[in-house]
Amino acid sequence: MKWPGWLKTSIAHPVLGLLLRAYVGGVFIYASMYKINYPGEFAETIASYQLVPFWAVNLMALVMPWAELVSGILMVLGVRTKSAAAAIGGMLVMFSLAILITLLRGIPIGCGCFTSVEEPLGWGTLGRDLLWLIMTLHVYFFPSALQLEGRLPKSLQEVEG
Amino acid sequence: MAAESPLPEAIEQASRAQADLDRRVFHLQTLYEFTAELSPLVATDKLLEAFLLTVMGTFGASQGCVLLCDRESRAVRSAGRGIPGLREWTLEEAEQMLYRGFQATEERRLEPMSAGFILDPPAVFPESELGFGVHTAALFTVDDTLMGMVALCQSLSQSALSAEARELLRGLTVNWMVFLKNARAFETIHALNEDLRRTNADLRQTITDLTEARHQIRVLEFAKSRLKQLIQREIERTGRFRAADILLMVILSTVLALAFNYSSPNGIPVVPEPVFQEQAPRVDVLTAHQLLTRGEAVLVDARPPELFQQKHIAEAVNIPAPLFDVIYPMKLGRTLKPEQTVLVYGRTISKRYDEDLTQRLLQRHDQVRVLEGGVAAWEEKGFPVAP
Repeated sequence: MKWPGWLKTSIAHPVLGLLLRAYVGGVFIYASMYKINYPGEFAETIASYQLVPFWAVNLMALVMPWAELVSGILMVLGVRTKSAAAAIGGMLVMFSLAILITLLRGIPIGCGCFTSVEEPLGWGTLGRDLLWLIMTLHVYFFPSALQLEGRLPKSLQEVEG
Repeated sequence: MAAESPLPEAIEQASRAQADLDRRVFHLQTLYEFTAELSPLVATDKLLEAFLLTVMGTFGASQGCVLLCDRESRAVRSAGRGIPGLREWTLEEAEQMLYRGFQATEERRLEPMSAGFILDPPAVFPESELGFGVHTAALFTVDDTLMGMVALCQSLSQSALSAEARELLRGLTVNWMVFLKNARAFETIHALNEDLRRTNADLRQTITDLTEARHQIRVLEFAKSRLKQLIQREIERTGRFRAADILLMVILSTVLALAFNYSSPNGIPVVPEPVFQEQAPRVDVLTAHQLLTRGEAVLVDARPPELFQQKHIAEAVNIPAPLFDVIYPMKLGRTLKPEQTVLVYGRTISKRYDEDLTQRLLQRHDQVRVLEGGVAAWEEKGFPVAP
């Protein structure tokens, strides 16, 4: 199948890359906030999924929100964008798998994606995570505008000039 | 008598010839000594002094002056003896004075390296101009740009200079001019040498500056190439995924998380407490069933309500650990007898609800045990579960 030129141009447009970067990065920064402040509640949420061994639950509840924050900030700023997108993509794959397994097992719990008090986990939650995953893949594979490190090639030109 | 008369005449002639010869010898001697005296001198000022002293001494003058006018360097130099307060002349004044002198010379015009006498010196140079009564004055021209005048007062013998004396003065002047010319050439060479020395110093400084600049350029070039390498490396890193970045992010997140958790009022233990706690006494399914059948025990499900509602042991009451303080008095507090044993169950891979609840129950009741295997073991033995 051959893609129309305008579609190709639109998808590869750096502004689209910038918008997706800001959106997905922003979602991760926002999602981390409540969890960083209330690690106890997040630990309960992780435990409710029944996937992590009990000795690792608290550590995961502590580190995971900070990983979301750090990678989210890097992605929004455009610093080490590919690595940040890979980290966020990895986390989204992990979340999606956890949601899928929980749905298949039929355990009635809340998502715990943003706060501990949320609507119960459903197929919509999985769809939302997969949509974010596609956006993250776009950020990984296509260029985006206004990256902090995007100035480096210009700096090199200035040094050579 | 006729034979006698030529002898005294001859003697007189011989005597005159002798005197003449003596004078010439004296003149030659003077010229020789003067030349010898000038030989070591190379400075114009010293030559002026030496010339004036020699001339004054030779012709017995008590006052005299020498004036030298250099058009090339636009300078007037002079030397005087026996004159109270010899005045300074500007180039224009000196040139005017010399012009007046040339008008009054015998020749009117002088060739280079020649000297000429002024016919009536007192008329040309009044006493007020040179500071003494001029009796004899000669002008000289070294070349087109260097000329001057020598002036003397009346000699001590009060007699006018003889033709021979004037020739001697001319000879001394011409001889002196040779030295003057040499001195001028020497001064030119000296000035050129000085200029060359300065130029050399400048050149040496320039070479030093250039060497330093070259060194600086080399350092800057090196810095530039290092900078380029660094930026190039950063660009390469930016453009691709690096596992090291992920590792760094994990380390950073862990450090931040632990630091924040340590200082946060909502902090939690990094490793759950049951890991370090002494395990509560266990009871197997069969024993538990017997105790329940005999009414010697009550059964408590420690899991969250959602899990309880999914599946639980038929006779169990649900008391989730976070709600213990509220639910315990309502569901168990009133009916529980002191001799009864509380059997607790409920754990997942991620959470030991039974251990948590046991710790809380032990604060209010003595007999608390954990049912091994929970719902799964109970169901396996064929005992009833709900719903």
